[in-house]
Order: sequence, then C-alpha cells, then structure tokens
Amino acid sequence: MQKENIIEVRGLKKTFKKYERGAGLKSALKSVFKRKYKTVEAVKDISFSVKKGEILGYLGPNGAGKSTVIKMLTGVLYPEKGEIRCLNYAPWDEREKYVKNIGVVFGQKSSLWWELPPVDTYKLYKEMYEISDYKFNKNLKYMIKLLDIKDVSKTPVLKLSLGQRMRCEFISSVLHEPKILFLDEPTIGLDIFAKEKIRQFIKKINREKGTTVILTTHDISDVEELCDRIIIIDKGEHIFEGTIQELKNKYVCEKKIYVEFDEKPGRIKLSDCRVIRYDAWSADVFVDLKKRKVKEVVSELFRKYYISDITISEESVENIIKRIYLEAEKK
Amino acid sequence: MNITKYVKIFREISALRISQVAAFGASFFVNVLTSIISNFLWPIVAVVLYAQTSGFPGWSIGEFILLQGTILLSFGIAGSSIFSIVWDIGWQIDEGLFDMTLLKPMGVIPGIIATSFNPWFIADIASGAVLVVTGIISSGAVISLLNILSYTILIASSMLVWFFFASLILSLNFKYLEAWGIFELFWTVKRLGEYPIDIYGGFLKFLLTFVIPFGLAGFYPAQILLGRITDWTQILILIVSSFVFGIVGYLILNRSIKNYSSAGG
Amino acid sequence: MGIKKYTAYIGIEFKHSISHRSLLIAKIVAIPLSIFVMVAIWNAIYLNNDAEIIGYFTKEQMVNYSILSVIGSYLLANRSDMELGRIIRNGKLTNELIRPNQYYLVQFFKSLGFRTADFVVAAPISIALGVIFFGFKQYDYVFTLMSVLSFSLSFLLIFLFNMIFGLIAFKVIDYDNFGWLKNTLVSFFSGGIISLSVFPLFFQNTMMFLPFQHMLYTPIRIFVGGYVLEQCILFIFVQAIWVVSMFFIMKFGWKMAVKNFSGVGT
Repeated sequence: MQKENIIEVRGLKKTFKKYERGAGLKSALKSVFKRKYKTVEAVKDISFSVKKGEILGYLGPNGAGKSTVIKMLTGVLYPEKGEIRCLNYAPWDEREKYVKNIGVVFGQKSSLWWELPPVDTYKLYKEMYEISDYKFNKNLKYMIKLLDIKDVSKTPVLKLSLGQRMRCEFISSVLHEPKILFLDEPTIGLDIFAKEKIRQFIKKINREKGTTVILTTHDISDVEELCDRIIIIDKGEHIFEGTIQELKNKYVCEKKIYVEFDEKPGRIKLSDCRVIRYDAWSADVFVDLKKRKVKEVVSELFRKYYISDITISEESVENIIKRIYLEAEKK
Repeated sequence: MNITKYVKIFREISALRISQVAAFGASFFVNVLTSIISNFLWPIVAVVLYAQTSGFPGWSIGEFILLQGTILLSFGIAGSSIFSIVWDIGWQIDEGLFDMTLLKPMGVIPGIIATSFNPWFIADIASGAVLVVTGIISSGAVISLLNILSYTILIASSMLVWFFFASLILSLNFKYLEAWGIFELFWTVKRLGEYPIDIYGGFLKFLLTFVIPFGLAGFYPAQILLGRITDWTQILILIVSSFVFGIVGYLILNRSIKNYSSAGG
Repeated sequence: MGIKKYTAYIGIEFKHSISHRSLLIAKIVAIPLSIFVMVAIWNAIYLNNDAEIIGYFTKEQMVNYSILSVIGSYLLANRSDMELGRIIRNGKLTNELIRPNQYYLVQFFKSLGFRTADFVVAAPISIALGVIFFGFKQYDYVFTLMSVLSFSLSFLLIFLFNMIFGLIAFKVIDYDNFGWLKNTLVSFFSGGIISLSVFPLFFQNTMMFLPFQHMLYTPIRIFVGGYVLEQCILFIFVQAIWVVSMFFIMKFGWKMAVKNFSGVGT
C-alpha cells in the first residue's frame, strides 16, 4: 500500500541579509557609522516530499541551508517563495495548530529547566500541549521504561550526564504523540551506548506510533542505522535524494580487496585495478567497478597467487558523503 | 483564545519558577537582601536631603517617600509578571533559543505573557508597600477609600505601561542582538520618572505622561493617593492612556515577532 | 615583563566595546540624560531652599559635581569581579590559569580597553553638552590637573577593590547578587548617588577611614574646588596609599584563593 505524503515542499526559497565587517581597528570604527550587508541565498529552489512513517536523513555541510529548511518546515521561519504543506498545514500560517502535532529535539539546545527535575518540565508541557491526565501518565510511564530513566527523571537536569539529559529531552518532545518528529543532531556528544539507546527509541516510536522522523545529523552511522532515505543539501540546493543503496550505486566506483598471501607473490599484476603493497605478504587491491566485477578479480587472485585470507569492503558511506561535499565545493 | 489553557500554563510556570528559586537557596536570599538595601538607599538619601534642605517644591519628605514607594511597588509587580518577558525572551533571543518558544502550541504573545512569572521581585513589592505606608504615615495625609480604589486601579493599569516598555525593549532586541544598550537606556529614562515630574517643566512632564509614560506608573498614582487629583475625567484619561499604551505595545511586539520570523534568527 | 601581551587586550576590548553599537549609542544618550536628571533635581532643590550652600557646595559646584559623578561613574565602572564570578561558575578559570600571564593584569588592561570607547566617545560628548546646557566649567587649571591624577588613582582603586571583593566568587555558587550588592553600596558610599558632603558630619568622618570616598568623591571635589591645595595633595597621597595597600591585599588574596581552588603548591 502506497503511503501518503505527510510533507510536501515546492519551490522553496529564502535569502538573508548578513552584516559584513572586516578585521582591524579601522573597520571596527567604520562599522559604528556605516554597516555593510551582504545578501545570502540560504535556500535556492527546493522541492521534495516525505511519506508518512518515513525516517528521512537531511544532510549537508555546515552552512548548507539545512537549519533554514528545517526552521521553515517547523513554522519558525517564513519562506520567501514557495509552498510547504505539513500535515496539511502551512506551518507558519497555522503555527499554533500545526506545532501541536510536531515534536522537536535539538542536540545543542535544551528545552528542560536546568535546576529542576525533568518531570517538572513535563508537567508544564502537559498543559501547553493540552494532554489529558490519562494520556500524560500513560505516555510518561511508557517512555520512562523505554528509555530507562526511572532513576533520573526526578533528578535536577544539571546533575544528569549528557546521555541521560538527551533521553529526558526526547521524552519532552514525544509526550504529546507528535505525528512528525524533527531531530537536530540528537546524538551529538553521546557515547556509543547512549547513541544506541536513542536510535532504538527512534526506531521503536517510528514502528509503533508511525511517527515520521526528519533527522539532521553529521553522524553518518545515525543515518545508516535509521534512515529509509536521505537528502543531501549544499549551498541551498539538493544534490542527492534517495536511499543509502542508491547513494552507493551512484557514487561507489571502487571496492577494496585486502589480500594476505601464503607465499610471497612477487609483482602483482591485475588489469583495471590499483594495487597498494604494504609488505611482502599483503596488499590492498582497488577494483574499478566500471570496468571489472569483484568476483572476477577474486577468481584471478586465487588463480595466480597463493592466498591465505581475503577481505572485501566497500567505500564507507561517510567517505562517499565527504566526496560529495568536496565535489560540490569545487563547483 | 483558550484562556483556561493560559491560566494553567501560568500556574505551572509559577510553580516551576518558585521551585527554581528554592533550588538557588542562599543566592535568592542575597538577591532579596540586595534589593532591599538598594530600594531603601534612595529614601535614606531623601531623608538626609530633607534634613539639610527644603527638598522638592510641593513635596514633603513623607510625600516624596510615598512617590518612591509607588514606583517601586508598580515596577515590582510588573517585574514579577508582565515586564519579566524582557529578561525571559531577551535571554532567549541572545542565546538563539527563541525558536523553541515558537515551536510551542500557544499564541506567541499570550504564551510569553502566560509564562512570565518572576519571584525575584518580591523584595521590590514588599519594599514598595512599606515605603508607601511609611510615606502615608509620615506625610500625615488623610487617605480616603476612594483614593485607595483609584490608586489601585491606576497601579493595575500601569502594568500595561510596563508592557509597552517591555515590548519596545524586546522589539529592539529582536532587531539588534545582544542589545544591552537598550536596557541601559531604559533604566536611565526610568530614573526621570522616579522624581516628581513637575520639576522638569511642562514639555517634559507632557512627554513623561503621554509619550514615555513613566509618570503613569508612579507620579500620577501617588498624586491620586494623596488626593491631589480628584477630577474623575483626569483619572479616566490616565487609565485610558494606559490601555492605549498596552495596545500599542502589543502591536509593536507582534510586528517584531513577525519580522523576526521572516528575516530569520 | 612583556607588557605588550597585556596592552594587546586594550585594542581587542576597545573593538569589542564599539562592535556593540547599541550600547555605545545608548551611553551617548544615557549619560547626558542622567546628567539632566541630576541637574534638574538640584535646580529644584536649590530653588526651593533658602540657603545658597548645601553640603559646602554652591548650586554651580553641585551641578558640576553631579555632571562629573555621572560621567565618572560610567568611566570608572569595572566588571572584573563579575567576570571572575562568571569564569569560576562556568569552569573556565582553569583556561585562564594555564595561560602565561597574570590574570589581574589581563583584567586591568581589558578594563582599560573597554572604557576607552566611553572615554573617547561618550565622555567628550557629555562634557560638551554639560558645558553648553548646564554651565559645566573647571574651577582652576591646577585643580583640574590634580583631579585627572586623582581620577586615575580612582580607576586603579576601583579595579583593585573589585578584584579583592570578587574573590568571594571562589566561595559562592552565584557571585552576581553579591556583585550587585557591592556596586549599590559602593555607589552610595563613594558619593555616586549624592555628594558625601550632604551627609551628617559623623558619617563623613567615618568615611575618611574607608577607601570609598576616594573612588569618586575625592577627585570630583578636587575638580569643583571643594578643597584647598594642601587638602588636594593630602587626599591624593591618601588615595595612593590605598592603591598600594589594595594591590598587596589583592595579590595575597588571589594567591590564597587560587591555591585552595586548584590545590597546587606555592
């Protein structure tokens, strides 16, 4: 069954005025009387849609326009041009009604009251989101168990570790059962166990509640673990849209075969392959996928040389994305 | 607009802020002590001044202290409620956290007013009340129930005046980030209103009544309590002026928030 | 001594202070406005008063005093203690301690830099307006020169006092409230709110034994001709003694505070 689109974006555009000031005393004094402004096209012409229940990764280098797009999707910023429909609302026009159906977690900004236990903040949000007593208690109990924060929900936030605090932040954003969850770098600074817990939580609410998730992150392992699809933005434009597999298919042009030899092989000759020798007993063989298949190269290696061990790996998604950013930078 | 919802939000915020203050512990008491000491410094200076001189024309020491107390009381009530949006929202703007307020399901202005509760001004309210009572006793003025009623109404309507100032400050803060200078200016101009405004002459008195209406928050309520203004038309004009400033404040703040959302933060 | 690494802070802080245009503009408006308030108050009081002298001052002297007390309060204001409170609270003190410089010197030159903008922009405008609209004028060249020296010592005195008082920040969670209390009381006792000469004699005599009157009242009184020449020289000398004493108290206090804070040896 084809899922409906929960977010539709057409022809989105946004420019900002940025104040420019040079270095040095002369510029500093000049700026007191006259300021120079520069117009920056943060978002050029963006169109995309998101299906209900999807987990979408929204990636891009710093300054690419990610935050601007997300702010427009959440109703915080007005677009200059274009149209957004989220849950059938125009976010900024019907902000108050719309935001009741979304949740937002900022990895670098806290929505919890610093000196007080998280449950005190939850009670405030209960009133803000007009959550019934029954629903509030049921959801809170469920989330506390899921995220394993029973012992910490009554501890002042300032005494919590980052991992504990992030879990508490998540609860504050999903108590009202939002239909869309916006996550801005939710695992930043977390250790591997805390990240795992957060990822499991996201998967679970996506699966059980059908919550659509928009995830912006620089942690590619988040993307690989969670996202059904990714969009990459750079300089205000989308440069890739598709699944991780489609990303690999499009951009991966090499695979690496690490070989260990039983007998010293001498000079290794393989057509359409790059070979890097580390020592007499091992080598990396990079196969140009446009010209040869990996299984052919492997067969040739076994035919020509005495192999003790072999490992085939492909370029990491992180590397691919790095390459995409660099190529976009050059343009 | 669902008033009940905002009342509930205000109730929860009040509980949170009081808990927060309790968490501060000793720091809160030092803050209260600081407020009390600074609130009573000027009255002490006034006593010293009146001991050496005849003071301000038309104002005895008791009447002057009553005026000081009135401004303190008015600003104390405002600071603990509607005016505290300056600090709450100002801090959010400076830290780039105002977006989080926009992400909450409440009207922006009703929401920020409903979440404005600041128990740190309790000392100012108490000091103000003490000075008003001291002023009444010291001046020997005969205060009627009607004076007290008019005074209370004018103090209440002065909250709209403080809201007007808060809106001005915030709207400038939205436009110019980290605009501490605006606050500096506000405190200085506020000082104009802390003295009998008739010492400044006709034009400035008019300005302090109908343009930068600090007079509405201190001078005129004090005049009313002392029975110096008895004409109901005048009192009505003052109350209506406060309402007009409140509406203007709302419009200014509304526009600033819209511009913030369209310009980007 | 490598004074250049400290004087560099003057430039940085100056640029920082003028980058906040709103603050600069606000001061250009706020200082004359504060002066206006004080002058209006004193005009009203003198008009309502039979005697021509209040607290040893004629109306002209009192107006001059008010103008200088407002300008002086801005120029001499120092936030070194609040800064110390802030870096202790947010854990950044260790960053400062591992730098190859003396913290108090860094703070001193930072203060100089930040105040330079007020000194170069706000103060001249305020003095000019004071001259044009309020009849501000000097008493005598010699006394003006002595008051400049006295104001310089005041700057040092206020800085050192703030650094000493700021050591409380090592012992409390939130220093800010203490800082505000200190500022309020210092403003009162230094003659920043009203000239100390208006207070009863016993109060004035008590103030003689404290450093506060030398923070603002002494240099202003020298300027307006409130002291004879010998008194001026004596009070400047007393200011210098206070500065030297405070310096040693500050150095000792800082050493003890840091020793207990970081647990390192002498």
